[in-house]
Amino acid sequence: MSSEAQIRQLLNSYNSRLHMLQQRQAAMGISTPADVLVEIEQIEAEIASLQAKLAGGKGYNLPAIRDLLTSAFSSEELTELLYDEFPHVYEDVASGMSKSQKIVRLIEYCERRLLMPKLLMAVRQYNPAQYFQYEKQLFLEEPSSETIDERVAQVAPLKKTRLLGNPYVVGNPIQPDNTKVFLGRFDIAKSIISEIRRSGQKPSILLYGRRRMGKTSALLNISRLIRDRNILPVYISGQSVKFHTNIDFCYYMIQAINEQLQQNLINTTVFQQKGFLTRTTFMPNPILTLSEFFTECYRLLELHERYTLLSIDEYEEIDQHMNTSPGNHHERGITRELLLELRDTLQHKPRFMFLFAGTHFLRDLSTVNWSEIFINVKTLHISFLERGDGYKLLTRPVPELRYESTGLIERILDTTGCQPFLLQAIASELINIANSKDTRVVTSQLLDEAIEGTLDEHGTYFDYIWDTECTSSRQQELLRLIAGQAPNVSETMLGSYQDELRDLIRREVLKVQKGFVSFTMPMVMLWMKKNIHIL
Amino acid sequence: MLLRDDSRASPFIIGKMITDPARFWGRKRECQDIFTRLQKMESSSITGPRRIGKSSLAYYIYKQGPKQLGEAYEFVWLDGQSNHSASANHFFGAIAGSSSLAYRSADNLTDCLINFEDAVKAHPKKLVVIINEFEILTDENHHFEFGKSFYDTLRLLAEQGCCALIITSCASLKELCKHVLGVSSPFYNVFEQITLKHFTTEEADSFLVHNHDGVIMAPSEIQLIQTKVAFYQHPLVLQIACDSILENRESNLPEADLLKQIEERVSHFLAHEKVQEGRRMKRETAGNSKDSHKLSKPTDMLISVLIPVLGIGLLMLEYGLLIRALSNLQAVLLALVTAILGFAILIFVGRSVDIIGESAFYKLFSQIIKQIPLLSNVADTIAQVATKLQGK
Repeated sequence: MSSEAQIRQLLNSYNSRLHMLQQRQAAMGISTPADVLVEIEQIEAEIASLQAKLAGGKGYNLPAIRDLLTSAFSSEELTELLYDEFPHVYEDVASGMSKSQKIVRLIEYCERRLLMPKLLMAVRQYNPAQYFQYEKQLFLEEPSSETIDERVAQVAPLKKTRLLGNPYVVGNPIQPDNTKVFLGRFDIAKSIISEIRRSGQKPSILLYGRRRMGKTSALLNISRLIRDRNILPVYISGQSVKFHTNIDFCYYMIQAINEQLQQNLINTTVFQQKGFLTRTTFMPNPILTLSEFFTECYRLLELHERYTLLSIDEYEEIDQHMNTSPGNHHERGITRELLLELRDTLQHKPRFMFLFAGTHFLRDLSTVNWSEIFINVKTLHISFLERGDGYKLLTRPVPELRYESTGLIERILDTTGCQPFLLQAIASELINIANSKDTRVVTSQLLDEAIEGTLDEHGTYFDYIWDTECTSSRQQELLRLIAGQAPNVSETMLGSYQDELRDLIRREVLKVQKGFVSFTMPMVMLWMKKNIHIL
Repeated sequence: MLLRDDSRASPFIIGKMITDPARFWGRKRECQDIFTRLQKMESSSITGPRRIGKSSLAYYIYKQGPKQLGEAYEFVWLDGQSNHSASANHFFGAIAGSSSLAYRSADNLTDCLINFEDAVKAHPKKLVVIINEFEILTDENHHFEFGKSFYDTLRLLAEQGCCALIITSCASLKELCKHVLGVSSPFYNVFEQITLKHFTTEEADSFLVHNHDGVIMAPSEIQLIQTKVAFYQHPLVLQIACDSILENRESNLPEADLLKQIEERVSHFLAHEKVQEGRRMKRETAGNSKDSHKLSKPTDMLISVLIPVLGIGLLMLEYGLLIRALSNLQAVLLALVTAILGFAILIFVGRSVDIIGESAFYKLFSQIIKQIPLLSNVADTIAQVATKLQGK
């Protein structure tokens, strides 16, 4: 066997091993053992080195690589690849370059930095079909006698014998290390970045969205989205009992900020010295102590040229613990004075930014007038995923799972309306069923089962739409009416339900397109039909 | 026929939770779902009727979890014996007592919740808490301790992947917690609901042909169970049927008596659930025929209304006809008896049974039926008083 054939054989076995490990990583998500992660890195490095050897002195076939990139990615996908894998190139090309210009810039960059193996590895991961089609042309040498089908067949048997990993997350928010199933939301990232980069006073931001739209996932993944090392995100959740009194709020928020600064190697001994890390310090006057902390922390941030983005998830929970009776009730709830202190910090210390997330607008909260306190609030709306992102979510994380036809993918996107939770739930169910039936092909029947399973296992989401999103029996009546007559319900037919229709559109349960009213998530209709007592 | 070693106790487990993983049967799909979710630290809620095997499944997960998921996970089992339902502090203390969690108990609820949150976040292992019979925490005596802030803390930890929960209950979480959390709390969304039903026919059949500690059912015995024992796919029915047949190898009861004995033992355990579940299973095992038996809600309501109307009409008719021929008291008594009989006939006619069985009217009717002896006594007393009055 020639040396080149040996390298190719070695590459094949490394690829197989890598594939298996990646499957394991997908299945285990954040709990992937360190040794697996290390092995993945090592194998990727080995593959890169072998590919370089294979290229030898002849180098890479750059026109072929350019063609591969052109066919493997749309312009948007290419931008995403740059964003995920080559952030330096992303920063260079962000301003309206054409696709071919981006490709040239990327190839130049990779060649200069000897990152071509990494680029090829990324392409292989994103679009394996196109990669295998071009693989033999990528190096300046004679192609081997293997056909593409043979290459694919070498990988396929591996997949068949093992259970598919299930990286989809249903119920919990997506943690930052599970990059495979957190897709899209670049609009949110761009808006946050542009607000942050504004000079002078920063506005506070409200991330508003209906339940299960991915607000918490977006907050947890904020640093991956904004990709700016100067911005230190601090996450706190309003549902934690740690943020329900002035004393606890001030103390625990400071702990969270301190932890984030330390993780970024900023020396915070001054906090220790001034007693900010001791709870008793906050007992007499927590708001005054918080004010002192902000001043001290601001100096540190200035010194290190950093910003802090304080994300307060489920901020309505804090509103529910507002104590509006006269006097200083630092131990019995949150007071208006604390919110005023936060506003003061926003106005005068531009290195602090606040990002609230919840299902209500500020003006809708009743205990205190939040919109009067935080007057300069920019609202970002988090809603259904873009159809393209939904498509990627279904097809990318587990490429071994094939759909019998693209029509099935379209059907999932239509049925769920690209609602992120429902997409994850169906995708997860599809993998579970595929594993139980030892198949790797999604058929129409398998999809029916997955939809049925999702309706059964996650009925509480539909209960929420029926019981909470519908605030009156007339709204429920309207849903019944539309479910009974879908898809031909024109807006004019619903003359007496205009108020209800408007409210349900605002709550993203219904939508109007070309004068016809329909469900944003037709799965709700399926659930209603399944629960016959509702109809 | 291959018999067991007679000195050995029956390998079939009846009425108790299965604690030996080697004796746990079926539920592969459910186990796979739960373990897949646990890999991502996602929580699951196992629901289903009594005696369907919820606790056994949860215990199997508890025992097999460390083997399946490795040492990074730590499993905690809480049930009626754990003394965890007295207060939140007891609850967290019970978890700490069964694991290496460094929880510090506290005097007030807020501190308990904060200490638990901190302890779980700092815990080096992934904590999986299995709460068997979750109902214990949700009754009206526990509103204060196990209120919204308690569930918020559990949800927070579950969502952040610090702690996964597996809970078992007959009713859904929403039903159990709605008086505390409302009908659509985000707490419910943390869980995937796994509703246990009967074994699939494949699972039940493979149980029958399996060697249970040296006991193997003979083909004729298997056939008897498959063809003559009603709802043999129910895990408990399956165990009882096998156990009874095993016993019968010595007592040699005739087939009819054996089947009767099985039915009695099943009735003993399942009591009234048998009726409801049996009907449901009958519909399920009948496959697609379930839809043909299903009547719409309006029809159901119509029948529920029509029957009392007919009953009352009959009563009035009887009263009208008989009042002339008999004395007042006799006429009333006769009319009453006739009305009850009329109701009984109407109720047990044809397929109305199924529909009415699920209707509100039937529930009312069964209550009335239970009162018949009482009504009879009242009628006797009235008759005696009336006779005395007439005598005077």
